[in-house]
Amino acid sequence: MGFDVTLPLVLLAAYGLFSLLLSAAVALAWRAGLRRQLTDANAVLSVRLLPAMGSATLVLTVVLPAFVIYEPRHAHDQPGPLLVISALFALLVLGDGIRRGLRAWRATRALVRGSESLLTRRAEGGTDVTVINVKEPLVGVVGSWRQRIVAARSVAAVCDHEEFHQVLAHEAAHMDARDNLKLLVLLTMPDALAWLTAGRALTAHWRAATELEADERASGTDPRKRVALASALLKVARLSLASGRPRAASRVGTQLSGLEQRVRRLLGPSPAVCRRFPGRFPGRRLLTCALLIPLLAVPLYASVHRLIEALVAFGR
Amino acid sequence: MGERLELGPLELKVLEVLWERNRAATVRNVQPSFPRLAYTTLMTTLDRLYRKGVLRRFRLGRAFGYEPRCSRDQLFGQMVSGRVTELLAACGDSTVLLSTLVEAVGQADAELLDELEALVRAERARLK
Repeated sequence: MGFDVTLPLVLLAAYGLFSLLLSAAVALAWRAGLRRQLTDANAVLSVRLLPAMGSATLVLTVVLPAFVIYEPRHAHDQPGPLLVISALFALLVLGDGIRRGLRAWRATRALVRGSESLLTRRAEGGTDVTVINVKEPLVGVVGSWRQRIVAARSVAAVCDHEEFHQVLAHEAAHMDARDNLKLLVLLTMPDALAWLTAGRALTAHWRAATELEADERASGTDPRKRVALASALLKVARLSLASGRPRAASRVGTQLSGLEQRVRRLLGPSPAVCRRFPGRFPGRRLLTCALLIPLLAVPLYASVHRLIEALVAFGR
Repeated sequence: MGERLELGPLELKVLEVLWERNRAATVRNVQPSFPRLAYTTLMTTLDRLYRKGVLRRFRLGRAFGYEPRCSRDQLFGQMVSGRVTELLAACGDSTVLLSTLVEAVGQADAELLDELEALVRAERARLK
């Protein structure tokens, strides 16, 4: 097996196969009822990241060392068709991930640049908000790294002071949680899950969970704030209907979604204590897994190398 | 003016000059703001803005006079509105890195909104 030629092929092929298997496993788990277990946004994010991150971890911490340690230096094996097909599949997955990420980034940049020269005013509470004249009752955070809150003038006009303050607090919670950056990561994930319905459902489920969390972060345990936010949500929804361009409800067709659930939650009994939210990124759990895998895999390197040999020779 | 209005950097700069002047201008009036640009380049730019529907044009002596059809805020608002509509409608919401306050509202939800608003009113009354 030629070391320098075969290694990239093996790594790519392994990534492609792991990505396919893990994507299928997540999709099956999702269909089997995983969605009911996942209510925390970071947990949903971790599951969505699993195929790509898991594949990369396995490739770098198991396949790569097994190949480097056990592969004879001057071996020259002709790559078989399965290896080549798997490597091509991995390239397709990686390329599509980059394409999706670039598309999202470009679309966002266009939106940010479009609103850049518009009036920015400092709202109460020290939150910067760009108020724009758009037909849609848009209120949101735009941008992934340099985030900004954008609000349609119609929304600022229809909400009273406390409601608008809560709207900004909700959006500030999204900014603080870096939800747009996480969305960019989700959209860029190079895995087969992105092509499956379960992948899209997971992303929608995550978005809905972040909305609930932003509501909670914004209003906390104060019943007046909760009512103000609920009222603002309804006013924005009413404007959305009046604008004639309501956005398709099916895009967020998950159990966590829905204006009704959010409003009823806000109007329901206020929690006695403020919910504690996990860190911005589910990094600790992923890092622990990434460190555990290579440790557990050390005794398996020889077997892994035999599997690599079989993969390289398959169909030859 | 169509929703898909796109303006180039020079067109935007020329528009800024016209908005600052706050009255109609000929090519010659605009030229001092762009000393490095040829007269014909400015003439073409103004003509292009007129054809895009951004400027109004009329005879001003032997030359054409130009003035913006709308204010700066109105124009940019329209441009952004068109872009937002385009992005949200055509690309799907997950394409733009934009978290929005109300993710989904369908036409069928009008009655539900009435019901929820009644709940908000009741809760407000209870808190008073």
